[in-house]
Formats: sequence, structure tokens, C-alpha cells
Amino acid sequence: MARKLLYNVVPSLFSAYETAQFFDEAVDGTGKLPRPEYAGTAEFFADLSKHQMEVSLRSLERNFIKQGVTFTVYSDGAGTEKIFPFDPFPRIVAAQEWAHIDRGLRQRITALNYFLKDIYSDRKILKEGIVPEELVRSSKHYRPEFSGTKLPHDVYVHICGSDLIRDENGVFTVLEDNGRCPSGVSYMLENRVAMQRTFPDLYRQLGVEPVSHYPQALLRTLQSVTPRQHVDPVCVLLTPGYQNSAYYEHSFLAQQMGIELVEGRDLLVKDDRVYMHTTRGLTQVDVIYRRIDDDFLDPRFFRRDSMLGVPDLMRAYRAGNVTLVNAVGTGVADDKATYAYVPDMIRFYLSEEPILPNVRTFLGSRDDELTYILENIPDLVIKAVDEAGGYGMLIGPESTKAEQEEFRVKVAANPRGYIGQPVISLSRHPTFCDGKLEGRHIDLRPYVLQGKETIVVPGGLTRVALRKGSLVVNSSQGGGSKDTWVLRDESDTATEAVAGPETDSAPTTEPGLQS
Amino acid sequence: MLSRVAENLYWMSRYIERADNIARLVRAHQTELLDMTSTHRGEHEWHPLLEVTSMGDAESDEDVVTYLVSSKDNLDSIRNCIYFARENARSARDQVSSEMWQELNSLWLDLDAIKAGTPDGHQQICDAVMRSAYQFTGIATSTIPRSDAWAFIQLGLALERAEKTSRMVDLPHFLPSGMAASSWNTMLRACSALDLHRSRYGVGIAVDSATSILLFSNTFPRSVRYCVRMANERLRQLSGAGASDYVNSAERDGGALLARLSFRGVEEITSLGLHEYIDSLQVDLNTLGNEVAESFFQLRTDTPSFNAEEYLRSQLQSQQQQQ
Repeated sequence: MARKLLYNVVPSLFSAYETAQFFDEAVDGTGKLPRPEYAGTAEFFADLSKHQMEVSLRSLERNFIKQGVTFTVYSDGAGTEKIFPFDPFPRIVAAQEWAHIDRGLRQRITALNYFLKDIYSDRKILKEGIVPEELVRSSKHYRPEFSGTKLPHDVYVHICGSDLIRDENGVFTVLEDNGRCPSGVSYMLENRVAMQRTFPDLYRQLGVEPVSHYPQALLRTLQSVTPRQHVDPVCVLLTPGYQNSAYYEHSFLAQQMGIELVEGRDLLVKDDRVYMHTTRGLTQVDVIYRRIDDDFLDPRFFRRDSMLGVPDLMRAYRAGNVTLVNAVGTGVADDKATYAYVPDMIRFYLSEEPILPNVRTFLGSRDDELTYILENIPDLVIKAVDEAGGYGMLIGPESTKAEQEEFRVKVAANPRGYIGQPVISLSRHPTFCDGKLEGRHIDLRPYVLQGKETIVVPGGLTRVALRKGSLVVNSSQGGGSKDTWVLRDESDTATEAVAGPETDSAPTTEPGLQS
Repeated sequence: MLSRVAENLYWMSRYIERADNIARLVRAHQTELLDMTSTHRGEHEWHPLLEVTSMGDAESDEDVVTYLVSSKDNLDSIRNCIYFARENARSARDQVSSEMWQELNSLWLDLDAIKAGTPDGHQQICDAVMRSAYQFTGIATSTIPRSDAWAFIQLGLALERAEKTSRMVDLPHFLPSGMAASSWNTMLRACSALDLHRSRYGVGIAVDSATSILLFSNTFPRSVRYCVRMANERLRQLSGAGASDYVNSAERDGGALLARLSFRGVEEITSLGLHEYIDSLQVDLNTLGNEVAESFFQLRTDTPSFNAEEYLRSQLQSQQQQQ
């Protein structure tokens, strides 16, 4: 790659750009030159006039608003629809880097599914003391009532969205697993359509792995777990309704898959079978891709006040007449305390070393680590084990004394409910802020499907913390997104792409904390 | 198709058509008022529109227009109709083509940006809605396959249009006598039928020439008869019943209404009087709407019958049980 030449061509793009002390995705150790996989993109943006850039940005935004690609913000009382802020500078992943992530994600979802199958049947991992029984029993989303329910292909988590971050050394690390209803995939798909439309030349020139087959892959996954053999499976997507913040995504996916988008009131259970009301009477349903939490699925079984669910759905589920995607009780794997044990699960079930490491995690449920957490709150990130979306967490160095004290009391009162992690300086990525490029922290949510087969979509949703200095990427907390471009493996360029000091180094951080 | 989704599509379509018709009526009335002296207009020049649309009461004339166009309190104001159309589309988003959704969504965002409550704002809203309704119908025509979704969209449009056209024909009844003559102009203009009327009947307008187009025309696409025929065709598409058969009460009464309009219109107007005739048409149209809901939208655990003879037998049985 002609680095020197490129520098002459584009002296301006990164000249005023600060990488500071962070690992930068696009700019190499010199702080001024693009990494090899970013060379073409850097050149492209450098050549774009300010006016062309503004026109592109406006057309992108119009595109999103007109399509109604919005999410609902509840906190302002009005339930306003907002577009998810989008940054046009794509995040680019070299082919070999992606191959590594792909292997790691397959390994992880496989281990998680073995684990869930195990704790709901033989409980081997608990009996052998690898994972403490108490940890599982005390998990908010543990559903022992469904132990022994037979699931097609023994899959519990069919759709997994494990969040990946890159640390100071550029090592891809798992931050958390989302094994209940991971969302955001529609943004991945819409971002791609918008980028292809706005920058077609750049897209073609780079050779990017497509993501548009995700809906077909998802449908194939749903069909592969039907309980009724020899019948064309009827799959539906169960949504809480259009007031839900992710409704756009529900309707988008249903439309893309060509399946019915149903609400609880469209379904009924008769003789332990699930049917939907149609204009021509009742139709039996085999697979429900539900975007409703366990608690709301069945008012006769879980929350009585739930208007979203279907009475007796759990009877049909337990009888094996309908498959829920994801299964009931997968929240145990989402528990942030369970997370700390995933590397051990991988070793136990697969006899392999974890390919993607965890962030070092201190558990409130372990006495010595609890002491460490309580003594080091100002230096740690403290997270409630069953919260998500950036809620219920404290970033030590950015918090006030009063906030730290509040968390100290909470953790001491409920040690099982909290974990502590060192503050990871997430990698940063050049992002257009008020007309110039600035580094902003990012993470990556890839989407992994498991049914009869395992499918990893090359790409995912790159979330970016748009507020300067912020480490929180969630859309509910001022985050935005970028399109993620995994480059196609064209062997001659691929060998060059990994030549960098950061990507050569093997993961040095020991996953988890061995006590 | 899911019953709920069918209902969403039907109401989406009805609400757009409703908004369009109110906008047409407001603009046509506005145009007629321009050429009128104050003695002709009477004291409350806008109130007749409230009565003809059965929308309740308002104080001043300015209030009436706001009430019809942009009020949040009037459930059937143009603004609220577009709001409900969009909510229905959103609820059936996976069955609506993305082009249709974009059109409706853009319209809603555009209306939101117009300063409501001013004469200029009213005009802008009406014009935007009328234009968008054409576009929406055009997009639906070019993007929706002729399956059940299409049938429910067309059914909603046809029944709402029939209802609104019939109301417009009732306008003379509510106008002060000085304006009655011009009301024919208003309704023909609101239904885009003024040119057609001129070319067929010349410049003079009378009850029989206006009603022959707006109520009884078999070719003019906004006439009540045409719309009822269109609704009947979509009902038969849904059930697969033959043209002279019926398998649900909506088809039975739709057929009877069409026969009434096709074969007995003029005689009935003569014997009942125009206003009373329109009243009875509206009762029939309402009944038809309720029967559509009963046949397709209300939850049922049995399988509806799609065989004419079976349907007749089941009707007889249920009547015998009631006696």
C-alpha cells in the first residue's frame, strides 16, 4: 500500500485529528496516517468537498426520517420519535480480523447454548462446581419451571448480540452478552442501504461483505426450529405494538421475512396449540419470534397485568407445540455475573480456550472481590447485573462522591446484584462532529444466529458515543451509529492488512479473574 | 391475513379518504363564498359544513374551519384523520409498501410544520392533503398486489367515498336559501365533477343532473353507485363468491344497496324527497360498514363459510333458533 503517496495526496484529512492516548480504529500509531484498511476511505473523504459532504449528510438524514427509521424516547414524556443519529464515516474491519471475530462468536453462542441446556436439564456444570449453583438460582431470569422442556436442536439462544469493544491494545473483547431480545439489527440493514445510496463509488471500490441476507438467514433459522415436521412452518413476529421503542425494527423484519407481525391479541391458545386470527378463521402458528420479555408472555403464568401476551402460551410452549425464539429463561446468560463465567463454560463444554476474551470482572458475589469493589469504586465501572441500555451503572472516574457513596450502599446491600470492571478506554473512531473529524468511542454489536446451523453476519451495528469523551454508546444515552464494513478476503491485500503492531499482539489480558 | 391488520388497512384507507373529502368540501365552499355577496351568505357561512358532515358545533366561522381542518378536539378533523391513518398504517406497517408509508409519513410531517389556525394555513393543509391523497392512491395502485390487502384498502376507500359523496349531495338542505343554488356548484367542484357536468348537461345545474352524476353514475368514480359496486367487487374477491351469490351479510346487503341505486334511484328521490333519500342511503352504508367489520375484523374461532348454499342454510338455522 502506497502510504507515503497517500500522505501527499491527503495531507488534510487527519492533520488536525487527535488520537490522544486511545486506540484509534482508523489512524495508526503515528497519529496522522490511516491504517491500511482505511486508506481508500480516507482518500475518498479527503477528496470530498465541504459542499458535497453537506449534501450527502442532508440526503442521509432525509432518507432516515422519511423511512420513519425512528425509535421512541420515553424519558421526555411525549414519547417523541427520533431518528437514531448516524455518522457517515464507516467503521472498517479487515477480512482477517473479522475471521477471528467470527470464530470467537461461534464459539461463544455454542457454549452459551450448551450452558442453558445444561442448567435446565442435567446441571453438570453446577454439580462440578464450575459455576456456583447459587449464582444460577439467584438469577432474576432463571426459570426452573421450564426445566426439561424439549427444544428443537437444544437451542435456547437463537439470536445473540454479544457486544464487542476494543481495548487500549486493539484487542477485540466481549463486554456483555445479549441473549434475550437483542435489538438494533434493522439499523445495521438500513445504515447499509443509506450508505450504498450515498457513497456508491466508495462502497464498490472497497469490496464490502454484504449484510442484506440477514432477514433470509433469520427466517431460515426460525424455520429450522419448528416443532411440527412435514408441514410448512408458520413463523410470526410477536411485537408489543407500535408504542414500543423498537416497533420500527419489528415491522421491518417481519416485512423483510414475509411473515406476519402479530400482537398478543392476534393469537389464541386452544388445546395447547397456538393460533392466529385471520380474516379466514384460525391458522396454527409454529414458531414465534417474540420481541416481548419473558414476564409479559403469558398473563396466566407470569405477570397478570400483562396486556401484551397470550393467555396459556406457556402451556403450548411446555407441550412442545410452539417454539419461542429466543427460548424462555435465556436471561440467565445475560446476567452480568454469569458473564464472568463464560470463559470457564467454553473450557468446560468445548475443551477450547476462549477466542474472544472477557473484560476483567469482579463479582460482588465473591467475598474477596466484593471487598476490592467496595474499596475501589472511584476507579471501576459498577454495573447492576440485570440492567441494560446503559441504565443502572456508574463510571467511577466520572462520578461524584455522592454517586459513589450511593453505589457503595447499593453494592453492600446486594453484592450478588453488582459487578465491577476496570474502566476500559474503548477504542475511538473518526466521526464527523460539526464539520470536522473528531475521535469518538465506539463498540460493535454483531448478530449471531443459531438454529440447525450457525450463521454470523459479517458486520453489525457499530455504536458511537457522540458526546465528547463519553463512553456510553446506547441510543437511549445520546449514542449514534455507523455502518460496519467488513472487507472481502482478497488474499493479496489481506496479508498487508494485518501488518500492524497492534493486531499482531495476542490477547494478553487474562479473561475473568482467577481467585 | 390477520384480522387486525385487515382492519388497520381498511381504516387507514377510510381515514385518508375522509380527510381528502373534508379538504375538498372546505376548498370548494371557500371558492363559492368568494363570489357571493354578504346578503347571500347569511350570518354563519361555514356552519352548514358542520351539519352536513355531522361534526358537532362551533362558535364563530373561523372556529368552524379550524374545527374541520386542524382541531385536535374534533376526532374527524383533517389533522386527526391523517393522524389516525398513519397510526393504522404503522400498525400494519409490514403490509403497507414502504412507498405508501413514506407518502403518509411525509404528509404527516408536512402538516405538522404548517401553522394551523390561520386561513392561509387551512388552505395549505387542504391542498397538501388533496394532493397527497391522489399520490397515496396512485402508489397503492402501483405497489400493492391484488390480494386481500388490496381488497381491504379498496373496500375502505369505496365505502368512505360513497358515504362522503352522499353527504355532499345533502348540502342544499343545510344552506340558507340564498346559497342553495350555488351548493350544486360546491358539491360538483368538491367531487371533481364540475367539468363532467358541464360537458354533459351544459351550464345549468339542477337536482336531476347533479344526482345523475354524483349518486347514480355507473362510470364516474366518485359516484355513490360506482363506489358501492367497487365495494361489492372487493367483497366477492375476498370470499370468492360468484357475482350473483353471497356468503356473508356484507355481500347480501351490498348487493341489495347496489340494486337500489341502480334501478330505483330516481323514483325513490321523487317519493321520499332528496334529503330523506340521502338519510336512508346513509343508514344502508353504515349497516354495510358494520357488516364488513363483523365478517372480517371481529375475532371468531369458527371458520367462515365460503359456500353460498352453506351460508344460506346456516342463516336459516340461526333464524329458526331465534324464533
